[in-house]
Amino acid sequence: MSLPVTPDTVVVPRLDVRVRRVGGDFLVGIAEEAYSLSESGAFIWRQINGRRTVREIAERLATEYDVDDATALDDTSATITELNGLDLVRLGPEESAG
Amino acid sequence: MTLSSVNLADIETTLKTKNLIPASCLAIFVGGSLARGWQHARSDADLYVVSTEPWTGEADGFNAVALDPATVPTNSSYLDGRRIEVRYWTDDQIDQLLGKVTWERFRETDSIGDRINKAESYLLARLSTALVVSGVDWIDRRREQLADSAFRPMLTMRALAVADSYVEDALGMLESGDQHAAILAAHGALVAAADALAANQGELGVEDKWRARRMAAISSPVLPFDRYWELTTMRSYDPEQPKRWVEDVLELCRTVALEVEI
Repeated sequence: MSLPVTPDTVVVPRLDVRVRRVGGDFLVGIAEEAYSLSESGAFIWRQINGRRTVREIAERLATEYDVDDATALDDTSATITELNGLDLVRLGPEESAG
Repeated sequence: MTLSSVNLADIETTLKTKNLIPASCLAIFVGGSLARGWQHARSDADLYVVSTEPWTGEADGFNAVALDPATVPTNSSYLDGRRIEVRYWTDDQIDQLLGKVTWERFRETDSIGDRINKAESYLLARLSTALVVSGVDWIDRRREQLADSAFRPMLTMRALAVADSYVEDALGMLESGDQHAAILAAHGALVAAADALAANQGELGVEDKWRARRMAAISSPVLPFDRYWELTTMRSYDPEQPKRWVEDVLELCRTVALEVEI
């Protein structure tokens, strides 16, 4: 059972996911499967570094696309949930406050 | 006389004197390290002669190509004690080769340039940085065709695919506890990732010995030369923590793939 995605969840990239940026498309693949990410999905993907939380990625999304924080957090959480469901990212332990 | 001071006119004169220029010659150019200014004390001079008709004069070897004709005759001679290797291509072979690196081929059948062999790849890379001996119009036209072709993205995609394969191997080897093999696989991934970056920035050479030169030439913010050199010489490798070095390299490869845009 996969962990729930919360704002404090750290998102960890999988090193074995293939990435290609060709002709404006942003493609990610693992094993035999490949997926095309939307522009905002690609932006989120690029922020995943194994240290940033969902909230921190959402803050960057809000700045990049000039959307409010709540919308950015919803979009980021939904995208990370989907990526995790496709087994393209791992969810790390939640970052504890303080 | 050092190679760096070889006069292009002297090269042409030498070839003429030795009857090494075909009657239907369209262009002569110098490729390789000499053309880049990267030559060393013992470098050969790599010369390319392109003609309408196949070379029928003296040859002492050949390069195999997957074209018609299927060989490129070669002739070795000397200029002031320096070895000069001449390769005789036909204009039609160049047409066929450029036909392998079209965008249509890239999109539909051969995104990694699998049908381009080593000699063919060398020709295209060296054409891009050629020193013109004669036939400047022909060379300019072919360079434009090359610049408009999918050769650069094919090389880039090929290198990325090689890097992916090594990454997969390195991770599997770590999981199996084979750290020595994982380190070598990670190094292979690093080399391929560096090649992908360099190719994507127009450094089309594929020779291992010039990789450091290529990385210095592209001056990439994604993989600055100092970082590349630190990793490829394994200065940051700690025998007590081999997994850390492997994972650092694989993370770098991930970053390279993220940044390379075709």
